[in-house]
Amino acid sequence: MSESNKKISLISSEGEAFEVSEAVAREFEIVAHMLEDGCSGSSIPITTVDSNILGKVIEYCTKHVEVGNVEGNSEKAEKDLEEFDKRFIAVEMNTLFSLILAANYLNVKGLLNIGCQKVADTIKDMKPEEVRSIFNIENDYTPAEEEVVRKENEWAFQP
Amino acid sequence: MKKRKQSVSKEEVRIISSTTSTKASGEKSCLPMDTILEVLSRLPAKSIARCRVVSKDWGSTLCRPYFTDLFLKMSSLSPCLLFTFHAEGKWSFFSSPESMLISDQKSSSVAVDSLSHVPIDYPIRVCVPACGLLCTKDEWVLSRKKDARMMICNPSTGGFKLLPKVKTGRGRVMTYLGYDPIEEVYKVLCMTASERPYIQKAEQHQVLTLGTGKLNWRMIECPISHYPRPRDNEICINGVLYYSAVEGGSWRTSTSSMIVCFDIRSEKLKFIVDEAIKDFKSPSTLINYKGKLGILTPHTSGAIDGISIGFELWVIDDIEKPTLWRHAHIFPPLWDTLVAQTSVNIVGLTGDSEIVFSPTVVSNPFYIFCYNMETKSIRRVEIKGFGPVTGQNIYTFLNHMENVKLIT
Repeated sequence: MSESNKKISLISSEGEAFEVSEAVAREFEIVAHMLEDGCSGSSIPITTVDSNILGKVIEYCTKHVEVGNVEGNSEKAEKDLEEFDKRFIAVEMNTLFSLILAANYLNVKGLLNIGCQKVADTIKDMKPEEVRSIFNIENDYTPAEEEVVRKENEWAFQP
Repeated sequence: MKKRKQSVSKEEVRIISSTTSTKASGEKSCLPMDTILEVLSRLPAKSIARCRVVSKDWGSTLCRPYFTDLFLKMSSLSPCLLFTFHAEGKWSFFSSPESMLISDQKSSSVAVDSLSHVPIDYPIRVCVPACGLLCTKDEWVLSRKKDARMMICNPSTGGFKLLPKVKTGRGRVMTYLGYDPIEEVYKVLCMTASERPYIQKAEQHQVLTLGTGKLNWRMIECPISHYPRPRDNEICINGVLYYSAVEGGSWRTSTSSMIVCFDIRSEKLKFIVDEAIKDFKSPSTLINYKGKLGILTPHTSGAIDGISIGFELWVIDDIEKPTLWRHAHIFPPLWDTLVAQTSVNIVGLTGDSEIVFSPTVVSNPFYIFCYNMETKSIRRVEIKGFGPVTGQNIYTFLNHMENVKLIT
């Protein structure tokens, strides 16, 4: 693996450069595709992700690459990674959404998965009003229309 | 897209970033709809029903095939335990993720979530669910009730549909539900059977396809006369429905037992006939054993309880030229202590090696029993959340997939 030591700069929307190993950068599938398409540049602009979020995504990918490289003792490593993911995703909703958006854009599947799962776990028992507020959605049902839909799904409102 | 693929000079970077405004700190992040659907596909079906109330857009989007298919794909990764019984004029459903049972081996209780219910004023028997749907069995109970009909129900949406009456004489009607994952179609197979003294055989085989507008029963040909064993549990694996049966005819002369394979797509019946199948005790449960057809059968016929000796697992390696192997399991002494007088049925296999047993009637407290075939150990798990009911016949299923598709 001659390329394993190669460094790549990822540039945030503020123009801040984050230097990472190619292995970490390749965790961003979008970057991996660019490299495969023959893009030889050593700095890649990630224009839609700010420094704060890009830093976090890099932290996530670095950890997953590190753990992936360790051989043997896989059960413990897996547990550690699970713990890391849990802590990593324990952030307030706005940051979580930004992480999901970044993971979606950069195509980091693992992060997208745990992020979506975290939001799902959070809203699982919420009322429709609370779900609206979380996703910033306007209720366009008239009160009468809403009543009909509520009635149709009445069972789901019982404990 | 092109822009990102090129290596961009510092100047360009600055230009791009200056036009991309960073969010003000108080501003709320919004997710695009496709990402929201990714999130919602990870919810339990009950939460989806509540989310239909969020907005008109959500109400319609959550019913569309794009979402219901995505939801099914996600839910098939986390199968559920499903409990169903009839009480107080309702056919009720309860579920719990199977992972709760598997992940924490020391857990002594699992809380179930109540799903929908269907108003119905007579007790029902149910077929083994296929891809999230349930179908009631007709049999004698229904044929005696004038307005009673077989029905298909989705416990994850509360939707149900009555099926047209099956024309039958005085006999029994037996039903199975199957699903073909390739054409994504559900079919109900039913057999009308005559039961004259000492003679039993299925007379007519009829098939009904769901989702094709007007529902109707179509006759199909059956090359070998047989009679399904009514107390055994069937299984549908990869578009083939398997059920156990005996050769049709007189009870005295009837000799061979078989497993019938009904191909959902082609509607053709095939038969696995083997001497060993005769040894299967009743009630047996057909299972998906690591991709192969498995049969769990009690050591002796009849319901299993504390004094039962054990059970056998049979696996059919090759269905084309049947090769069966079997493994007998003897219950450890703790079995008698835990199960005592409770009458239980074999439900199936969870994880890699645990066999689940469930009582045949609701009790309070309600325990299911898990026997680990590798460690030969037994544990009991209390199931909480059925409410103040007791004494009803209960049906327990494993590998149930939540499906939010509406029945049409």
